[in-house]
Amino acid sequence: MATLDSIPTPSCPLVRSTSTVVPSTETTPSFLIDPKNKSYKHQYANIYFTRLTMLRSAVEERARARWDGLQSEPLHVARVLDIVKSQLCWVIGTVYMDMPLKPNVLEDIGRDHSIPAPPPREKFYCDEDSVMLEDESGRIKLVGNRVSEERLVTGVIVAALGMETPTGDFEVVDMCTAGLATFAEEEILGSDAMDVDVDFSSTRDEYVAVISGLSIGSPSPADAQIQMLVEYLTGEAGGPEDQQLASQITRLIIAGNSLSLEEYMEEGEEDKRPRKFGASAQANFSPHPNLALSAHLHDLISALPVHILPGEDDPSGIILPQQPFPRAMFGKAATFESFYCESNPAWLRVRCDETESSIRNERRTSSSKSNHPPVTRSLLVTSGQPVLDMYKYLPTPPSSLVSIAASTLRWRHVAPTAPDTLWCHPYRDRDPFVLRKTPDIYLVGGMPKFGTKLVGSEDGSGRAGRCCRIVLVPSFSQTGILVLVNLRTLEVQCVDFGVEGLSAGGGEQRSSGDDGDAMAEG
Amino acid sequence: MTSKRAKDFLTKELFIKKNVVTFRSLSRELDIHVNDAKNELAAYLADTANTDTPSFATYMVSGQIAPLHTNGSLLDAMDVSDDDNAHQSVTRSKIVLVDCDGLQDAKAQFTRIHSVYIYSLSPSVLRDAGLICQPTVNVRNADTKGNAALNGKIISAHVKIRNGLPKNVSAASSSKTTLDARKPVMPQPHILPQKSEQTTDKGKRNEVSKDNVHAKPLATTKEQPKPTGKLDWSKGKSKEQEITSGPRVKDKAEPRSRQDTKISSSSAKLADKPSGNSDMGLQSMKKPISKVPAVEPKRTTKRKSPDPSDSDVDVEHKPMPKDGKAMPSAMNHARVKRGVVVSDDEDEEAPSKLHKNITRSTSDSERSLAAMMDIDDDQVVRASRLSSHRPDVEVDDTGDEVDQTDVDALISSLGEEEEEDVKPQAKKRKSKKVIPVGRNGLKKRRILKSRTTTDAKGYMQTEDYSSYESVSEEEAVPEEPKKRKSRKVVPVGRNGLKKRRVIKNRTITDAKGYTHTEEYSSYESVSEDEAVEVARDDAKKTKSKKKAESKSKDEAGDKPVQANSKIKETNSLRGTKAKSGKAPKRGGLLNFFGPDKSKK
Repeated sequence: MATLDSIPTPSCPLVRSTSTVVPSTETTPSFLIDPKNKSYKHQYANIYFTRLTMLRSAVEERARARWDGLQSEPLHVARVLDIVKSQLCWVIGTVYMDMPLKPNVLEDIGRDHSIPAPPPREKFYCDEDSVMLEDESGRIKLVGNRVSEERLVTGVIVAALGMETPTGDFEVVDMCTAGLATFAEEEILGSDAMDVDVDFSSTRDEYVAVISGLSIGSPSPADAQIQMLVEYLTGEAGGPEDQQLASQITRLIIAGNSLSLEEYMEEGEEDKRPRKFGASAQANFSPHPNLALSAHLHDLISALPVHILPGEDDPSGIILPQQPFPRAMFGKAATFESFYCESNPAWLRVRCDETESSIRNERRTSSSKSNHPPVTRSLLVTSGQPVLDMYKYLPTPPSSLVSIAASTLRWRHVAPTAPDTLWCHPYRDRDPFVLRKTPDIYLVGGMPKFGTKLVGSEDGSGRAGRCCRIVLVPSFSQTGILVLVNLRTLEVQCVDFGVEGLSAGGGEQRSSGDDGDAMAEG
Repeated sequence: MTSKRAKDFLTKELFIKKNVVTFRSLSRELDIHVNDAKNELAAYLADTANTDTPSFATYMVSGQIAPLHTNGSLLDAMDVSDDDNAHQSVTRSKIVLVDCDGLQDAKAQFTRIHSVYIYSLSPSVLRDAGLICQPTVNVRNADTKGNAALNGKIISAHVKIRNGLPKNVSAASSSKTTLDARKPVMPQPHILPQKSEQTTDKGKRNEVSKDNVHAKPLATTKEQPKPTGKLDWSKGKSKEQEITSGPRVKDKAEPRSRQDTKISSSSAKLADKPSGNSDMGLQSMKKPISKVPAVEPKRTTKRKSPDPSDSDVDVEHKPMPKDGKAMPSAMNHARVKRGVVVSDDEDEEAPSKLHKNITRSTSDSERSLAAMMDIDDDQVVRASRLSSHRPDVEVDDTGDEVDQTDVDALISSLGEEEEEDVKPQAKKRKSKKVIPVGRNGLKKRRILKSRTTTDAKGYMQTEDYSSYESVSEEEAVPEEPKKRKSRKVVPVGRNGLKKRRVIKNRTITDAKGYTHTEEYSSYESVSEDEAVEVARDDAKKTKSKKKAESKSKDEAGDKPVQANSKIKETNSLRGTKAKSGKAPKRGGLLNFFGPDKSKK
C-alpha cells in the first residue's frame, strides 16, 4: 500500500483562460457550401482551371526570382505546347501523375462483379509512374531525377525549368513551387517577444487542445481513456500542476473521426460479437455511439468551447469540404453557444485577448501585461483525408506524413489530389483549398501517429523566423494522445492517456497503430 | 481522518451497492472539491486497509515522460535543409490509470511525477478499465443540478447556453441553473401529449363521419382550413400562414412568428432536459414525445372552430395548457397562444388578441355550423372526396394535404421508438370508430392481418391487427369468396399426399421466463383414403366456421355467395393454385395462427 501525498485544493479556484473566435477574413475562406453553390452538375475541369489561374502568378513570381539570374537565360513559355525544342525554358502547369496502380473508374466498370474486388491499395506508388505537366493547352511528360526528388502529387501547380528531349519528354533541371504564402495574421512583436514569453509567463499562455479519432462506438471502445480525457480537460484529473495546465486550455478542437465506422457495419451482427466477461464496457454507456458522444461532448462543452469537425469515419458526406454536423445531432450539447460545428477543412481565427487574460490573472505575473499582447492566430484544421490521400502517391521512406503536410503549405494547396483521387465538391469558379495565406497552426487529424514540425519560408527574405506549426494529431482511440498547442509560442505538448494493468479498449488496436508508426517513420 | 459522511457513503456504495466510487462521484456526492475527494479516498483506504472489508484502489499517476524528439524518425532525413527547429523536443506528459499492483511500474516510466492519487475505490480489483465510466452517469446528473465549478470543474467564461433560450435566466456559467429553473415546468409536456394524442386525429384519413362534416367547411369557408391544416404540422410554414390569416393579426404576429419558430425549435430541446436525470437511453424515448406539445394546442382549436358542438372534447384538455403555461389556451388563435406561452413580456398584448379571435371564431363557427346544417349526408361524402382527390382545389386545401404528408414523413423519420409509440395509438383510434365510409366514398371493411416480426432475441412474434380497406360496392362481394378460396387450398405434400391441417398446442418459455401456450395448426400429410374423409371434414368445418363468420360480419346476404364459392372451391382448387403462386403460401401463413383467429 503506497502512501500518498495529499493533493492540495487550490486556494482560489482556477480560472480557465479564454480565447475568442474572430470572424474569418476573405483570405481564410469558409468551406461551407451554400445552397447557391450546392450543385453537382459542374465538371471537375473547372477546379483545375481555377487552381492554375489562382496559383500561376505566385509560382511565376517565385520562378522568375529564382531563374532570371541564370546565365543561360531560360525562356519563359506561356503554354506547355509552346515549348521550344532543345532550348532551355520554363513553363508553369498542373502536375498529373500517371500511375498504373491508381484506381481507375474504367477498370471499376469493366471489373467482373462476381469476383470480390481486391482491397484498396495502401499505395499507388510504383516504378512505372510518370509525371506529366499540363495546362489548358496540353501536357508534357516530365523526366529527370529532379522530378522524382520533388515528390509531387497530382494537382500541384509547379514551374519546371528544362529542355525538351528528342523523344518529346521534358528533361527537368529545376522545379519551383508557389512556396509559403504570407501569413494570415499580423506578426506579434517579432520573435524576441516570443522568447520572453517562454521564459517568464508561459504559465499563463493560452492553449488549444486538439484531438482526433475518439472512435466512439468501435468494438473495443477506449471508454476509460475518453473518460480520463474528459476529466483532464475539465480540470478535475491530476494534481495541481495538471489542473493548472488544464485551466490554460481555452478550447478543444475535435479533428474528425469522433464516431467509429466499424459500428455501422456491425450493427446487424451485434449478438454474434462475443461479450467481454463480466460487465462489459458496452454496458456503461448507452450503446448508441451518438448518444455516448454527445454525453461526453456535453461534459466538455460545459467546461470549455468545443469545435467539432466531421472526419472520414463520421456520419457525414464523403465529398471534401465535409459540411458541419447538424447541431441537433448532439442533443443537449447543441444548446451551448460555445459549441461549434465546423466544416472539415476549416479555418479558425482565434484571438487571445490581452485584457482578458490579465484580468483573469489578477496580475499574478507582474509582467503579464507586457508579455501578453493580444495575439490572433489562424488555425487551419483538417481531419486528415487530404494528407492520407497524398500519402498513397509517395514512397514513404523519403516522404512522411509530416513532410507531406509541410509540402501542402509550400504548394499552397491543402488538397491537391482532390478531384483526382479524393472526393471533392465540383466547384465552378473557385478552389477554396488554395491557401491564399499560411496559417499559424496547421492541424491535421486522423493521423496514425503524432508528429509536429515548424515550417518556415525557404527564401528567408524578410520573413525569417515566422513559422507555421504543423501538428499531426493521432487517433485518440489508438494512441490516447491529446495535443496541446500553445497559442502564443506555438509550442506543442502531448498528453498521453493510458491504462496499465487493466484491460481496456483501444489498446487492442495497437497493431494498426504500429502500422502507423511504420507509416510515419518509413 | 475520513469525514463521517464520506465514510458512510463509501461503505454504502462499496459494500452494499457494490459500486465503484471515483473521486468525481465522491466529490459530487459530498459536494466537495475533487482534490478533497481524492484525499478522502486515500484516507478511507488507509482507514479500512486492515479491516475485514478491504476496498481496492485504482490509481492515477500523472507526470512527465521522456520527451519525444521530433528529429530522427518523425522527420524525413532528406529535408535537412529546412530548419533547425526540427530538433525541438515536445514536452510529453502522461496520465496513467493503473491498479495497485502495477503502481510502482507505472511510476517508473515518469521522469517527473506530478501527482499520484486514488482514482477510484471498488469492492474488488478492477480488471476492466471501462468500469470507471459507470459513476459518470451520477456525476452528470449532479453536474446538471449543482454548480460543477465548486467541485473543481474549470469552466470557461465563454461557455454559454445558446441565445434561443429565454434570457430571464442568468447566463454566464449558470448553464446548470438554467436547467434547474426550467425543470419544474417541464413535466407538463409529458402530461399533455397523452391527452392530445387521444384527441389528435391521426387517423383522420380513415374518416370518421364527423370528419366528413369538417370537410365541408374546409371547402366552403376560406379562412378556416388554413389554420387547421397548416398550423397543425409545420412550424416552418407558420409565417406564410400568418400573412394570409387576416390583416389584423398580421403586423403583430409576424415578428412573433419568427420568434416562435425559434422558440419552438428550442422547446424541443428543452423538453428532453428532464431526461438528463434519467438514463441516456430514455432521452431518445422522450424526444419524440416532446414534439407533440407544440402541436397540441392547435389541435384543440381545430376541433373547436368548425364544430362548436364538439366542445366537450375541448373542455377536457383546454385547462391543461392553461395551468401548465400561462393563460393562453382559451384563445383560438394558436399563434398568439404560443407567443404567450413562451415569453412573458407579451402578456399585455394577449388579452386584446384573445378578444378579437374569439369574436372571429364565433362568427366562423356559426357560419360553419350553419353550413353543416345545410348538408345532407350524401353531400358530405362527396365534398370530402373532392377535397382529397381533386388536384385543382384551392391552394389551402392542397397545402393541407402536403402538410399531412410532411407529418407522415416526419413521423416515420422519428425512429423506431416513435413508431412504436404511434402505431398502437393509431390502432386504438381506429377501433373506436364505427366508420366504414372512406374518403373516396366507398365503404370500408375491417380486415384482419397479421404480421410477423423477429424480435431482438431472435424469437418470432406474430401480431394480429386489423385495418380498414375500402371496398367498392361491387367488389365487396366477390372479394370475399376469393379469400376463402385461397384459404381453402389444400396443399399437397412432397410425398404427393394431401395434407391436413392439424391443430396442435405447444408451450414456449419466453425470454422472461413466462410460459406461453400457443395454439397453432400445421399440415400433416394424409393417405389417399383418409383424404376423402378429411375433405369432408374440412368442408364441414369450414361451413360451420363460415356461418359463425358471416354472423359476425354484416348480415347482408353473403350466404348465397358463400355457397357458390364453396362449390367452386373444390373444383377450382387446382386452378387457383396455378393462378396464384402465392396462394398456398398465404394459406399456410394464415393457418399458422389458428383457424379461428384468421377467419374473423
